[in-house]
Amino acid sequence: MASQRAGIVGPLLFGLIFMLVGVLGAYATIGDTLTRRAEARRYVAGECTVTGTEIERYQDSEGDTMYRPRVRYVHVVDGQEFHGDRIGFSSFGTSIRSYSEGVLLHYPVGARVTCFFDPAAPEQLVLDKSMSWSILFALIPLAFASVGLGIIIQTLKARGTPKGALPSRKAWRARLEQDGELVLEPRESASFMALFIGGFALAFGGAGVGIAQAAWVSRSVGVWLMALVFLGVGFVMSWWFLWSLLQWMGPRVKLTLDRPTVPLGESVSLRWRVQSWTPLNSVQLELVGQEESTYTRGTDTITDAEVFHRAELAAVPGDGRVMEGRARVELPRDTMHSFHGAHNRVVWLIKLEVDVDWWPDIEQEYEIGVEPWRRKARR
Amino acid sequence: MLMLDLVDGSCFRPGDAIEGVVTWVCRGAPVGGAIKLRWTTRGKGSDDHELVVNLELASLRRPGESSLDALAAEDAREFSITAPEGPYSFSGALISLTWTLRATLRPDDEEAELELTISPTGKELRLGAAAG
Repeated sequence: MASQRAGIVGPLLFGLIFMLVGVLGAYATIGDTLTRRAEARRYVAGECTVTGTEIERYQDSEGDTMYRPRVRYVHVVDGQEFHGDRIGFSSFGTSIRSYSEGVLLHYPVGARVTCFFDPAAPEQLVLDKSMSWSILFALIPLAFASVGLGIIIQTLKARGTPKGALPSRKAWRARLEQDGELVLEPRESASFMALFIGGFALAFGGAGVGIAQAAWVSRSVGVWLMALVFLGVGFVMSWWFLWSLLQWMGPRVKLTLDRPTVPLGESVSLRWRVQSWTPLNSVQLELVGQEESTYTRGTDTITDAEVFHRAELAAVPGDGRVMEGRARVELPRDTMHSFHGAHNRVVWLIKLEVDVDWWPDIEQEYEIGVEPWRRKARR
Repeated sequence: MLMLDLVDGSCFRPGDAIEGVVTWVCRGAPVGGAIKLRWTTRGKGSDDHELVVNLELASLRRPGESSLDALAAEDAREFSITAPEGPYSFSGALISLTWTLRATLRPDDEEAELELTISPTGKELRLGAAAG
């Protein structure tokens, strides 16, 4: 059975790698910029004369043509000339030439412009010491870090879930409280979903704002279009994130069983309680037996599900902000017990649907452990 | 030649005794062999399998004898395995699970295999047949 036991090391490692890639990616994107910006606190303003401009053309690692604006300028301190060519502390190129053209419009040759220099080292010059919009691109790798953190949390939360051909007597995605109650936990963690979606919302939204600022500077239509795409995706993801957050903050649900697993042909008592800030319209509970099969198609991992048993446990109309009740969960005898293979599963679920006024509705699944039929039940 | 015979059919309930005899005729005495009981899933997804019982032939007795003898070129051994509590043999829309009993001989890698059904009804369970 050990070979069937899906360890937590793999997912934890996967999550850690995601986090590491995210944090290192963010550092690589903005670490140098942040360090220089910290040094720039002692920089003072001066006046520089623009001596030349150009658009540097180069190939990136994938062979695409990129463009980067270059400005040369001179600063005179006590009669001594100091030459500089940095616009800001970060130097990003883009594939859109008009962005560079837009930036250079602010620095016509011969113009006297404000620049900043280190009084202790006047050769350290920069035209713009403000936080660059490009810093927002660091949010993209940070989204990876957020997803990695979500995977780690989810893995650690699910580590108590028994795996194997037969359900263990151990708690089945449930926690035993001090008063002896066995409280079921939902299969899908709302906090994980919120972190997962929030990470991507932050990345796309942040990058969208950054690109929009770049578009504002450069007045480039291409950059504006790119900004709109990022902002659009960011908006949808943010809305989804908000929805997930509301669900996470929404009504508190507590499902309690009187024993951790139940054999086929027997029943178990289920107590349920829903508490909400806003009025509850209805609560529905049903028992579902379901086959689940996971397979890969190309690079995608797909899980198909097929219901083979469905029975209503409770359907209660709304009654204020707190609703509770009991239901008898009866397992049929001549069917399949819980089965957890590495790729194939037979699961028994309590499905909960709560219709809430003025708040996102709740749809959650709670797995229960169903053991093989016990011979003594034949009597 | 390797043969696997069961005493009482191929359908069992959990806890039943799966009894049978494995018989072989080889050119030389085999260095070893085993009887293996395993389950396998088949269906839309990737297959899962697990070896549940592994009996070395050398640890089994000849039919009607009480002593353990070395494996001979022409020999037979009887076995008795308790049918596991689960997983049950079943067939659903996505997955089916079957049990197999396999006898192997080394070094010739000869094999004989029988498909078994293990369930509380003694028949393969059909998921969805009585869905509510």
